[in-house]
Amino acid sequence: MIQPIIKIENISKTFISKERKKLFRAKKRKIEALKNVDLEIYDGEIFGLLGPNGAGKTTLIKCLTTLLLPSSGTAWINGYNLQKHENLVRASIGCMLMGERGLYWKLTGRENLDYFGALYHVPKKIRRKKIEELIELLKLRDFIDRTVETYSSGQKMILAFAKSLINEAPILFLDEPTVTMDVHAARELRSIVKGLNENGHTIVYTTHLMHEADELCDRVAIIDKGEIIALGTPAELKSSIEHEDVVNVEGTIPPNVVDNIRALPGIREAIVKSEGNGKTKLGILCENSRMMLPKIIEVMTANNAQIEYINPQDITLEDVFIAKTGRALSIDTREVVKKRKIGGQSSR
Amino acid sequence: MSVESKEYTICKGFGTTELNVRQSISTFIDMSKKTIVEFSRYPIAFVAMFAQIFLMILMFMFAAMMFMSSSEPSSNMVPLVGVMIYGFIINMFLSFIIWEIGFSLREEQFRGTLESLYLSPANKISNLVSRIFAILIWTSLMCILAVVIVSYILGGLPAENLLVALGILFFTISGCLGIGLVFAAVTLKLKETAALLVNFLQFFFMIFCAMFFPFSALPDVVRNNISRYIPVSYCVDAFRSVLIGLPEGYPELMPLNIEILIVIAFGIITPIVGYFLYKRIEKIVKIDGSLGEY
Repeated sequence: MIQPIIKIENISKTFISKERKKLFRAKKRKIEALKNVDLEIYDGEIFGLLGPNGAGKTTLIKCLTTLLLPSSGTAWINGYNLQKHENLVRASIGCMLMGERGLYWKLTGRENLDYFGALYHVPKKIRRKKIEELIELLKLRDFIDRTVETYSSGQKMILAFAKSLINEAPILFLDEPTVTMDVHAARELRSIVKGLNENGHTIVYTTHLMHEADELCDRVAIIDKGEIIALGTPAELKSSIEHEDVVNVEGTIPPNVVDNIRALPGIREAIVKSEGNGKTKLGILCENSRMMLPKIIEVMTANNAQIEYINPQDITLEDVFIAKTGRALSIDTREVVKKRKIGGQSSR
Repeated sequence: MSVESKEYTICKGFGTTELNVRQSISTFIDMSKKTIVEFSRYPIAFVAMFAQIFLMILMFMFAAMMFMSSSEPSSNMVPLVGVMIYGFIINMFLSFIIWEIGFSLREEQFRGTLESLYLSPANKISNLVSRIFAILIWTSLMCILAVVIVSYILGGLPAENLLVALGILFFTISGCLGIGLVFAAVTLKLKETAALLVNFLQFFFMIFCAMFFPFSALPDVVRNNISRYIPVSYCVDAFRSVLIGLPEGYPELMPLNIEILIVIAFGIITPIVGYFLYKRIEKIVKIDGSLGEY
């Protein structure tokens, strides 16, 4: 039987935030960042946590890495209870949470790795060997002996990644590790993550990049407003909305067009994925894209929309997110359309 | 079903092994080494900080000389300079400890390295102490050098009862560490505001613990209602009194044996209070999520 290396039981986290009203007045507001999260992550899997900014991904990771105390619930990491065995939990995990922050800028890359190795009580001899291994693996040789202040963002990120590997922990938490990397470096990091997983590391990977999750993760949990709204392998999640097709449209699209498209029979949802420079990207979920394509074009042209690109496409994890929440997922996720029910069915 | 520890434990990685004393000491040394390396990357600040110590000592020494008439024998001036210099030494230890702990904690918060530290199984108190360990050694060397220089200029500075003085200094430093931990806890929660507090505290102790002048210089109302209630006052009084050879009128606040008892209590109780307060605030910031806020 595959055992859960991470078991989360009913974790909730509520923050009290202060909204400044006047000079000395503030109004307290409760924010439920996590709501009764239950999850099991198995030994040896790459587990993806997907969701827009503010969904609760980082809060969950911070709870699991002992940086935050949950308001209720508990978890076991590598067999150790989160609240009872804090230090053993910490020793069982390697983390890359703050991106390029979390490094000493006046120390060289090597000194940083050595210092963090010491914090994890890695014996000196092993530490030296491990640092050399990491230099080779992550191609750090060119800049490892320079102070971190001289690094580019990408170099800082890769050093932060190396830092998370210094204690050879069985579990790795990687929070948006590719966020400031160029395409090539990100691709290389993903292949290293895969390699680490093949060597037995369990990896918890948070991202808002659907293609990354699709490429890497064995299983994925989609988190939104502090709740897990979907859980399964990428294939399972996609097949859960397989009866739907997706049509992507780009062009100059007046706002009323979206509502008119939604009103068409056979359309399940129409979402503005992004807007800017007068261009709009639209994602349309429908029952049969071939049948709906002429009708969509007809509505758009009748409303003076200029279509620059239209394409029925395969279902992605982003479409799963749209189908579950009625919202698009992007770096700066905004609720661009209100979730609505079509044909008496909830889009969730 | 809950996962009950052992049967589910998959022990991989270095940190899951039991930590022995040797490894703990080695980690502490590595932490201190890192502080020194970081200091060495700011050479001008490093040199300026210690040059400043000598300039301050000279300033106080010349100020003391100003009040001496030329007809008076210089031997009268020596105890007064001793009062100043030895008070200054306590001031240096206290200031460096509270400033260094609070400031470096704030800096770690700002850089994001505090969260990295909290992700590791390293002892957090040990880490705080390591930040000042190196600077304490350096400060001690500077103090010795300063005393030698002043002694040379004046043609001799009293340095009696050295062992007792060192004992008093040991408990004083331990007590200051306790204050440092309290201050670290405050910094963890209040962040930037704590820097203002440390400035205030430095001057507060400087004045009300009569660090650069005898307690007799303070008005009675201040000495009896404020100074006597601050344990650091007894550290200052006992330390300098024994070093200048317990002349008449010294110690000024209490008989020496009582002062020493107060200093020992201060050196034992304050770190314990500081530790528990730090742990308490640490829990609070982990609940409200402000540990990594900057």
